[in-house]
Amino acid sequence: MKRGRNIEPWLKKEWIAEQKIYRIDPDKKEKAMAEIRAEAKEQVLWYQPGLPEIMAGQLQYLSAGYWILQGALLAVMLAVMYWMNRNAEDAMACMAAGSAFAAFAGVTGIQELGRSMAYHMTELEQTFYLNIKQMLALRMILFAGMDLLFLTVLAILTRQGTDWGIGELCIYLLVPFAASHIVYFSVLTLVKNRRARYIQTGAAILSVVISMMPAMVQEAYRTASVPVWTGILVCMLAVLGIQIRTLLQKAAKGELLCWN
Amino acid sequence: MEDRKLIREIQKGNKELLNVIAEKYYDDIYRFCCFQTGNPVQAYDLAQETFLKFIRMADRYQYRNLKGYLLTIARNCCIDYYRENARSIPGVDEFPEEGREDERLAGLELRECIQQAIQQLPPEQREAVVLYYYYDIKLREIAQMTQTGVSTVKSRIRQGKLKLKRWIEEEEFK
Repeated sequence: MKRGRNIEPWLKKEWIAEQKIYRIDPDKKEKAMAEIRAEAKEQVLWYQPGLPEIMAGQLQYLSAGYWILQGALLAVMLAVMYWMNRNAEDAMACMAAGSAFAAFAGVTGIQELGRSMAYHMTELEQTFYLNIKQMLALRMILFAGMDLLFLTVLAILTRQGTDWGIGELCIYLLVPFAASHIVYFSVLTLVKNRRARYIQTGAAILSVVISMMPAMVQEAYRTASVPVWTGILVCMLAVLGIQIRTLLQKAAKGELLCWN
Repeated sequence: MEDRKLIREIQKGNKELLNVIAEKYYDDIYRFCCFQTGNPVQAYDLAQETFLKFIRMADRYQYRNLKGYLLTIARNCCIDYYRENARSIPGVDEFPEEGREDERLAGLELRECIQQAIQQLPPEQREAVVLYYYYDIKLREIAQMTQTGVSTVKSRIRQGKLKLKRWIEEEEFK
């Protein structure tokens, strides 16, 4: 439906402005504007940034160490998997390497999350628009996104050296990934200060070693074992869900922050 | 400054810009309230109420068409006013039977005739015609404001315009 150029003159907006009945009394308008100005002066505005702005803000506060470590891990993974696909004869070796990287994938994110627990007040004020729970949840979402990217690349690379289908491979990689996260979350709030980082790194190494163990058992990666792997994965995801929920609840209550 | 930037600045804490929005759109909102109520005196209060409500919700406002948003608030203020005063929106009670509208418009000057004719339209048609022609609101936005479909809005505009045209042409030929 077009307004068009040939509409009747009394349907044009300029016509309205000219009509006496619709002309505005300046005194009455000024009186109304005074009330509006008074209300505007009294109003307290709470700035609510949008999600993209919040995400950008959170990315800004991730340490350089996180990005360097993540980049280095990716580079090493690409190099190792590329070499294994070319030179390794045994698919189990590829699987073991893939599992190890999957187990190690989350360590940089969890360590960065650990830093969130040790923020000073100025940093907290800079994330003023979020409470601690929201900040932690947002960071976990960011890290999960990056881990997902990491795992996707890993799955593609591992598949090149094996005969498994992509679905099956994803399950084999997600189990060590989830298991290592359960371990990391368990140690995340065990100890604060500098010792925490050593304990978390130790947990990471332990997770990597354990993740490579199924590769020693040929039968572990048979198609018939997929339901077992799936069951284990589901249980692990449930445990992970409980851990994350507990972590967020503790953060909201302030227990974690008091440890500093 | 364009509306989107105004809103962004306001939501960052620059409260003075709320007055800029009020200055910019007061006349439009006042005239819309005149159309809705047929009462220029009441329209001042309703226009003021519209901006007071906007200011109170400014920090939660998610930018879309600001003028459309203000008109929606104004529309709701007019509806609330009539509910509280237990009156129907003008035009419904006063709307004569089909085919007898010319009795009311007879004897008026053309200009007055047009004004009266607009007020005589059924409220839904008047609202649609006013928003579409006088405020350049898009069909989809009118549909959202009035919680109807686009085809319903088109139909109301078409019927409203035809009625106005017929009444006014009949008056011109007298």
